[in-house]
Amino acid sequence: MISKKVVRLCYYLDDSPRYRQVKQFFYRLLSDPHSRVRTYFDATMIVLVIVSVSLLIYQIKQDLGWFGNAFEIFIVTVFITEYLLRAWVYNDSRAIIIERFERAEFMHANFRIAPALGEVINQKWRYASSPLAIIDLLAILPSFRGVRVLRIFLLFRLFKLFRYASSVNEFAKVLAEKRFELATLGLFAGFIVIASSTAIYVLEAGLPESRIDTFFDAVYWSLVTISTVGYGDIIPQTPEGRFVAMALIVSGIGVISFFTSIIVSSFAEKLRTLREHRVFAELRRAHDFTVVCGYGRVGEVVVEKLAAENAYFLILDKDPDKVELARASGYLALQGDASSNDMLERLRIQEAVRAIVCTTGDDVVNVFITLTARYLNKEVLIIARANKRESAEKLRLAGANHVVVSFESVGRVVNAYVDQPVAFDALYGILSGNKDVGTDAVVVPPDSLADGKSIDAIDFPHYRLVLFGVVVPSGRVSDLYTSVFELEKQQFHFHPPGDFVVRSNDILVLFGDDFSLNHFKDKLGKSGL
Amino acid sequence: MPDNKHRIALFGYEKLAVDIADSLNSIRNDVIVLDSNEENIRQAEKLGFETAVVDYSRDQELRDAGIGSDIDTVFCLLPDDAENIFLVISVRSIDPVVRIVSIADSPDSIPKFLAAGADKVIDPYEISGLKIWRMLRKPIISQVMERTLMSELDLNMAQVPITRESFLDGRAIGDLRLRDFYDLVLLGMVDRTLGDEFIFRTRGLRHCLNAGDILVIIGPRAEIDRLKRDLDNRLPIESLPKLKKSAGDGSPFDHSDTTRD
Repeated sequence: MISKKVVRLCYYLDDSPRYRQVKQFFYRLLSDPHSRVRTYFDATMIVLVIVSVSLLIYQIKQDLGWFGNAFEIFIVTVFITEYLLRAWVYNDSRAIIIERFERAEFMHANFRIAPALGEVINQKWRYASSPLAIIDLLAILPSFRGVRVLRIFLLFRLFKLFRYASSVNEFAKVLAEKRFELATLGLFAGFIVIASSTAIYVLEAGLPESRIDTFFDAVYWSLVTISTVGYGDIIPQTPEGRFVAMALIVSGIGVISFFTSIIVSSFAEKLRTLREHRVFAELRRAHDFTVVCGYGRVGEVVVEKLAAENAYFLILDKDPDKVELARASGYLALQGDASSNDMLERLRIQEAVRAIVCTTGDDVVNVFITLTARYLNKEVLIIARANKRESAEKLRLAGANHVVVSFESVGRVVNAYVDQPVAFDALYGILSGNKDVGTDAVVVPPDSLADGKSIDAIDFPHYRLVLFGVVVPSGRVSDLYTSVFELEKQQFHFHPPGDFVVRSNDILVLFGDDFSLNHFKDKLGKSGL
Repeated sequence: MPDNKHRIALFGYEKLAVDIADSLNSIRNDVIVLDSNEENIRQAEKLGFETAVVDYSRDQELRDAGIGSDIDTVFCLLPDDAENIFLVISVRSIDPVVRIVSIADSPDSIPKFLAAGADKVIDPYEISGLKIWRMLRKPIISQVMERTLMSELDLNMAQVPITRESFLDGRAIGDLRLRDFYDLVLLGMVDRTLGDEFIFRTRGLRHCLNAGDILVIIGPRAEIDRLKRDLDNRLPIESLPKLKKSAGDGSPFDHSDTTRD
């Protein structure tokens, strides 16, 4: 009877979109590592914790009256609610029951509620016994002011901060990774402490001038000495006791330095991952960014230009030295394999990546990266560099939108230079954007000052611009009188005559200095492509 | 502007040089490939190049290959910057006027090449990198340039020297109405009285053009040739036929006086 009701309730909840929405919201608020609301929630909680701890400390000697009590009640309510909510979103209990019920139905067995509920409780217990949950629970305790010892649980309220500051978690993780070394060291130090405590106790405990009365005193003295703190409140009185002290001091230095080196080395190892976390965190905010794979000489040039435009980009290289170099220039860089699905998915290739540039010096690698990226995202723009002419076709087959054959373009440039050095310098400067004169493609917005006007009426010389040509949709203009070049789905009309009429969404290809180009674009009320 | 009849020497026949030699050879047949490596030379010979084995550390061998006599342009395409710089210095010491073009592997070497006497240093990685950047950030421009100026199609960029007493001699660039007469886009010029710097068209409206100045223009090969011919023949501007053309999309032919070119 009860079991039927429970199952029905579970199905009801499972069907209710509202219930799911609410739970999803709290999951995002409390646990989702990628959500934005969680960062705000964490910040609020940090402030609350600090305020409450400060108040508790203040209240040790002063009385805050009703305000202190009210605030404490408020805090505890928040903490208890948070604790319960976390227990709730930790897993889906209804799913467990439904699954068990359906399995029983399928096997034509009797559904028994007890084991299913046992499993539910077991799962929730797993949450309750996790260290952070225990800290949460203990952080609620200092409110019970009657018991003085409970006040020490104030500290747990501070520990609660761990939950909200992820970098602290990293610290704990680093220490956890060095478990073995730390345990060995602890065992060694523990052995020395016990040995020296025993020795000093045996040697000095009976003496009237000695301050060591109990074995606890001996352990206290040993620890103070081995840690190189040495308060000096207890001093060995006999030569034998001093021998023990000397041995303890020497081994103490060893223990401390060993401990320091473990911590330092583990952090040095972890530094890369910590940095990676930072890069990924930064990328999470970015949209439409470009991934440059391979920070060689070509990659450097691409990145330099992108950086000059303040475009979002990420450098990916297998070589740690290159990554270091990129970081030194202040760029976002990751060491990793761009051809691994995992890496590209972590970069959110489906949603956030606009373009991928393969500029490694190895065509095999370029093909592999292209293929992987195309497989993961059909839309992303892929531009690849081919170091050998034969590779160009392979890169296209692998899915690259554009292929740049390194030496072919150089050949053409050199060729042009032989005949026309001045013209070549001029054009190359304009195209590279390194001179103050540049080129831009400007889309004509509907109803703008250029829409429906002839070239003469727009009067480009007035804007200090030179019109190279106009890109129009294929077939819009008959090409009787202009030199026409076919592009993908569009036509480029070179140097159209003065009475050529420009329509909206035509693209004007212009030369001019940056100021004139921007001025003209402003006038058109639309930025260029 | 140097005439088109000159011999070109290519030093080094490795991966980059093969492509450059190929594309040079497709438009002229006065290219000679020089290398100290006989294997490379054999490769070049197979493809029909004129070749010679030259140890470029010996001046005499360079002279024998034609440096200082009939070679007008030298390309230094050796794989190593240090070797190329050595070659540039050697060639420059033999012939102070020969044009030397070198590739640089590292951007740090570029000033060294210029100091050694190279006229032009090309950074092949920069060219590829910039091309990728254009495709990424300026897709339309990139497409247009690839289809027009960078391809083998009939749209060229050219430099045209102004001849004495031609119709351009003594005129300011702002007064030119070149587009009324030719299907050409004027990009700018080099005014010899101001130096060798290229001046963009809209900057130097008041500059007076003189014989020896160079115009940089873009247009179909036939139009460029026509302009050159008219300049050479010193045709007066009055005798030039006005260009009559219409976009042909039904708009009336209108030659208003706002046109300035």
